[in-house]
Amino acid sequence: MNLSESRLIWLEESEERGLVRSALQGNRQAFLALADHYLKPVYRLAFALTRDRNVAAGIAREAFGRAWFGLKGMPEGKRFFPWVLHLARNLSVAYARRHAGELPDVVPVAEDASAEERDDAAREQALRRALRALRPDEQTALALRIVERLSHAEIAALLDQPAVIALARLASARGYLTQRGNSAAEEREGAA
Amino acid sequence: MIHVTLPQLCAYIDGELAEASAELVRRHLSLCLECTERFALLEAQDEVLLRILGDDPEEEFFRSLSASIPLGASATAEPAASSVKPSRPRVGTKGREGDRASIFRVAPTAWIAAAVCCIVAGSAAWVAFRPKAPALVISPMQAAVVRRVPLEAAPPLEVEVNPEPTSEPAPEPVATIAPEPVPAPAPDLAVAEVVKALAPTVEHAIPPTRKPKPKPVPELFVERAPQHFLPVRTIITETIVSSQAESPAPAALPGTVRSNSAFDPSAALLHDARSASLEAARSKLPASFDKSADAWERALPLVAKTPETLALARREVAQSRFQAWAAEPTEARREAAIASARHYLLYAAPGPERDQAWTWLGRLKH
Repeated sequence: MNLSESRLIWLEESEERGLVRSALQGNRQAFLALADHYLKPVYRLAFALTRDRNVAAGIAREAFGRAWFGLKGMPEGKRFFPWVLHLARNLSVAYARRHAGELPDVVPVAEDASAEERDDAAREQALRRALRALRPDEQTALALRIVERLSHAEIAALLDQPAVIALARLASARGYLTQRGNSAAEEREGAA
Repeated sequence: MIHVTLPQLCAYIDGELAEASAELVRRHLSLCLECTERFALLEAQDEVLLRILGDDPEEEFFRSLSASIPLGASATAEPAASSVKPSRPRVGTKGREGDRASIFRVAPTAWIAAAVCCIVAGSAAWVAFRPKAPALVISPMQAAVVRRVPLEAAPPLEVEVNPEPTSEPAPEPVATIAPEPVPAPAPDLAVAEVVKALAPTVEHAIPPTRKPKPKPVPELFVERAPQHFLPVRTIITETIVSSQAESPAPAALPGTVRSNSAFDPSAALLHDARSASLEAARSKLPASFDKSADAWERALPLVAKTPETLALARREVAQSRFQAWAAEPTEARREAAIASARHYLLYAAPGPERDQAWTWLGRLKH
């Protein structure tokens, strides 16, 4: 995987408008063409926000189902993908709030693991815990940057925010995660 | 020294800075150990985050997911105009199996009805089973006193039998009621649990202020040492020069012309590194790649004048280490190659060069 290039491929705008218009007239195939094209990024965002494959699949399915039945409510002049991504993001955030009390999965460590591997596992565990404390916008911006490799301008457009806000969200999220990771490492050193 | 801010560092990592700003950040990173460490930490963190947040299932998974999108039962209906939405099924509709997100499909009225039922049932249970307080039998006088004075804090009370005001001097009190000592109430277990639950958890507690710990000077700092680390650099340069003085002058590369001027250790080191690279590319032996990487590492202090030349030299080191590992994988070679690739990432310009470094790292880690 090329880590510097965006993984999101936008549909040609005119083509997308045509498909949306056709779907509005009841053409399921047109809507399925839209769904097929944007299903992966929507699923990946849902997974990044919930960290559960089954849940993410359910949310992606739900988001496209809602999009199909609410296509008339799509704002005029807005692209389809940001709209459906917003639906998926809201569902993911709602799910994450409902399960906020659950502990994250424990990172498995082999018994004969080296000290470095144990440190890595501890840091990953701390990151998993800290990710839950991020604000939804920060989590979304981070997911779009880390997983989709989107530029700040694209993230800002998807979140309906100025680019500087997208950068601020990313910096704030990364700073918080680093701080928590460092704290966990220090705690581990202290315990050792 | 003015350090790079976190947003600047993030923008640099993401390749979002303009070329001039990126150059400034690059120059600062080549001088500042603290910012370099923050930069390396953020990049390493991004790698871990990609592992946590990323998931790439097979195509089959997406095909079945696409086929299961609920688009309504009738193929000919006009769904966009339909009033039935998948998220608002009738109350009691069973969610799909395996769909853990089907919690969203329950109508809000069902939740409200359930909540009202719970409240009514709870109230009824409380009325039926609440503990009855024993009847309190006290004399009227005690009642009058108790009503006015809190029992725990009250001093011994003096109560007049005849409350009528008279002009005569006040009579001696005829009765004294000392409040009975009230034992401290036993701690209510439920309340204690609630208080404990409301106490801030470790997760929400403010982390203690970090004290900067003295850190050892890593090897990476040696070649980018500013003036105040001059002694370290001097020692290294002297070591290189002395080792060069002991070794014979290198043979000239084919096609190159060596001047007859005085022996230049810097040029000799670079010449050695280039020769080793050519030899490794020709023989493709792991030992040759190791030798090439070692030669370039020795030459690093000489090319640290500009970030560009340093990046090129770092690239040679990382490439040689990677090729040595690819030719004959060992754990030591893998660790050395990972370290070299990480160092190279500090200097590589965004674009194909950084991608190449990430590719090496990806292959080395899996």
